Amino acid sequence: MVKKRFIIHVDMDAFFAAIEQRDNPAWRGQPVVVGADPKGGRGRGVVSAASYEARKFGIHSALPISIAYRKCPKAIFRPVDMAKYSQVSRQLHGILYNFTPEIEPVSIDEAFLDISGSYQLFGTPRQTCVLIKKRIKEEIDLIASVGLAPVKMVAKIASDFGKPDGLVEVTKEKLFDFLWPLEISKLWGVGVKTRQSLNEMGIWTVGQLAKKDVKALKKIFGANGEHLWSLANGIDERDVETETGAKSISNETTFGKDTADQDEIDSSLMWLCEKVSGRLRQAGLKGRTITLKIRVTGFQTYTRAITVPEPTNFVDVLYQQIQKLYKNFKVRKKVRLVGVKVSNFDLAGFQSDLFQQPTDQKREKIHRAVDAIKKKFGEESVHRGRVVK
Amino acid sequence: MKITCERAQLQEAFQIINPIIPTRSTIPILQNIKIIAEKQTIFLIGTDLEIGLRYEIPAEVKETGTIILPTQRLGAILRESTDEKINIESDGHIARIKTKIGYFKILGADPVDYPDFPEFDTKKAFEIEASGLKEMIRKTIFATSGEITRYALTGVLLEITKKELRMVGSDGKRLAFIKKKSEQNVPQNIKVIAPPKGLILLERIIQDKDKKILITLEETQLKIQVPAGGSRKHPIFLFSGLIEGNFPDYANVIPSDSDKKVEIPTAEFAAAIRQAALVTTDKFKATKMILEKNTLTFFSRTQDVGEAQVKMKVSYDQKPFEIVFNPDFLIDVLRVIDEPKFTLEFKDKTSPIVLKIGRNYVYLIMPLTVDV
Repeated sequence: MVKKRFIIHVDMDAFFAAIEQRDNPAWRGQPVVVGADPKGGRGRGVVSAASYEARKFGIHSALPISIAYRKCPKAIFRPVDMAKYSQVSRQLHGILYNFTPEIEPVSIDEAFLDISGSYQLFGTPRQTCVLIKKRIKEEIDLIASVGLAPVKMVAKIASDFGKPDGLVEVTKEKLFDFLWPLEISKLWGVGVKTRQSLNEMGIWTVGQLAKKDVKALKKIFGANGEHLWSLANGIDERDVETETGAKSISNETTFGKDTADQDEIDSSLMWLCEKVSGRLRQAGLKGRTITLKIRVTGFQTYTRAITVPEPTNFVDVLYQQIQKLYKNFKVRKKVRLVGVKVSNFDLAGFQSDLFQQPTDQKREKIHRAVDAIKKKFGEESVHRGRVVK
Repeated sequence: MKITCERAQLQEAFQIINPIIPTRSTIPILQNIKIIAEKQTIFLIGTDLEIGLRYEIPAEVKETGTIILPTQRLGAILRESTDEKINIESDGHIARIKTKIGYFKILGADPVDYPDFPEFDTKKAFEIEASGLKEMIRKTIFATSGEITRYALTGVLLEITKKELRMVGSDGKRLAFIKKKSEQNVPQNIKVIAPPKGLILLERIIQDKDKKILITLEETQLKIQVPAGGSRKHPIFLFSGLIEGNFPDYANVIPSDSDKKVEIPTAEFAAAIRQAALVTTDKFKATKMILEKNTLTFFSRTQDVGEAQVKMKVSYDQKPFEIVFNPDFLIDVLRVIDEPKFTLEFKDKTSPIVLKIGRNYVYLIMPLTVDV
C-alpha cells in the first residue's frame, strides 16, 4: 500500500516588510514598502515586498516603485536589506528542520516539507502545522501561512489561499472540492499566455481542465498539456527534494515577454548558472552533466546536455558549457523560458590532490569568497558582470 | 637450426616472456618470439619496443641458427605436450616441431624484419642489492596513475644513491614511498621514472636468492641484468624505456606535522574498512574514519545503497578526529602490507592521512572535502 503523503508548504507573509515592521515597532499597522528608492515618485526599480497595510492601496511586489509612490506617498519606503532577510531565512529553516529533515527550500521565504514520516511525533498533520506556525511566531516573531495537502502543488495553492496568517488543510477526500472550482491561473505553470489559450478553449476553472481530453491538450500544448491536465486532476508525483538527496539541481526562468534579445537571454543564463552553482556549493555537490532547457514560443521545449570530464560546481564552467549548448542549438523562434540543470553528481570533484593544479585552486578560492559574501550579505549581494544591468 | 631442449624449461621461458608480447600491434612481427641457437644455449627474445626481455636456457644445439615464430601458437604446443624433451628444426622461415605423438610445421617470419635487440654492456654496469627490491616494487607500483594526462605519474620514481634505494609511486591522490639502506657502486645519484610494465616484469623475475642485479642507464633506457644463480643457469636481460618528464617534488608533500597518531593492527583494520566500503558505489566512494577514545569507527553512506558502520578497538587518547577519504586507497595498500602492525597519523581534515611502517615506508592518502 502506498503511504499517505502529507506535504506542507510554508510561505511567510510579506516577509521583507514584516521583518522591517518587527524591527521597528512604530511601523506596525503602517503601510511599509520594501524595494527601490522612490525618489519622490521619480525612482526606478520595483517593489520587492509590501506590507498588508500597503497592499490595501494596491501596492504589490514587482510593481514599479514610482507607481507605488503615487498610490501611497505616505507609505514607509525601505531599501532591501538582504543580509538581514537571509539571516532570518536561515533561522526559519532552522526551525523547520525540527519537524522533518525532508525540506525543499523554494526561496528565501518559502519551503516545502514532507512530514509523512514525522507528523506522528507532533500529533496529527494539522497539529504539526499549528506547531510550525507557533514556533515561527515565538522564535522569530513573524507570521507564516501554511498549506497542508497530499501533493506539493495543492499545498502551495493552499498556503496562498489562507493568507495572511493562514492554515489551510486539503485532505485527500476533499482534494477535488478544493481544486476544481479554482481559476485556471492558480495552477503551476499557467502563466498569462497559457491562461489566454485555455480561456479561448472555454476553460476557466481547474475542474473544466481536469475533464478535458488529455490527448487534445497534448496536441495544443505538447508535454506541458499533459502535465497541466495531471495537476488539474490532483496528480503531482514530485517529491519534496531535499538539496542533499537530490539527483539534480536546476533553476529556470520565464521571460516576461517571449524574447529574441541575445543580451537578455545571455544574462539570464549567467544568472541561472550563478543560482545553480550557488545551490550546488551549498549542498556540497559537483556534477558532470550540464543541461540547457529552452522553451520557445508555441511551448515546444528542448533540452540539450553535455557531460564534462571533471565534475564541477564552478559558475564559469557552467556558463561556458551552457553558452556552447545554446550556440549549437541555433534557436530560431523567440525564447519563452530558459533553464540550467546540473546532474550526474560525482565525488571525484572533491578529491584533493597532493600536487594540486593551481588554476582550480584559484577558482575554488574565488568561489569560496563569493560564498562567504553571499552568506553574509545575501543571495543578491554579488553577481557576475554579465548579470548586472 | 636444429635443437633439442627440455620442454618444461622452454615453457617457463615462454611464460615469462609472454606478458611482453603485444597481442595487437601496428608492427605484426612483434607478436612473434625470436629464438637464437648458439653452442649449448638458446636465447629467447620478446619485445614491444618499449620493454624487452632476453632469456637463456641450455639446449642441445646440433645446428645454430635463428627463427621467428608466433608466440601464441608455439606456447600452445608447449602447453599441450607432456613430453620431457622437444625438438625444433628450422628450414628457412619454417619450423618443424616434433613431440612424441605430434609433428607440427609452423610458418615463421624473416629474422631480418625483427627489430634489433640491445646488448648489455657488463663493463658499464653497476651493482644494486637485489634483496628487498621485490618488496619495494610491490609497495609502490599500485599507487601509480593510469591517467595519461599526468604522464610522469604513470611511472615509479627510482632514486639510487651510494647508500640508499628509494621508490615512489603516486597518482596525485595518494603516494607510496619506500626506501632501503643498501650499497650501490653508482658513480653519482640516479633519478629516473620507470614505467610499471618493466618493473612488474622485474618483480616476477627476481628470486629471493638473488643477491645483486646489474644496471646500466642510458639516456632513454634502463637495462637490467639479473645474473645466474640458484636454479637459474643463465642471466636474464631486461630493458625498459624511461618516462620523460618531471616527477613532482614528493619529499615536500610528506607531512612532518601530523600531531595525531594511532597504532593499527593490520588484519582487523583491513576487514573493517572492506566492510565499511561495501555500501559505497563507483560514483560515491567515500568513507569517514572517526577516532574517539580507544575506538575507531568507519562510516559510509550512499544515497542509492544505504549505510555501514564498523567499529574496532584501538589505543587512542587524543582529541576526537574525523576524516573522509576514498576507501579504495586504503584497501589497495592493505593488500601489499605483510607487517602485522602499522601507524596512522593525521593533522586535520584537509591534510593527508599518513600511514607508516617503521621509518622506511610512508603512504599518503589525500582526503575528500565532503561529508558523508
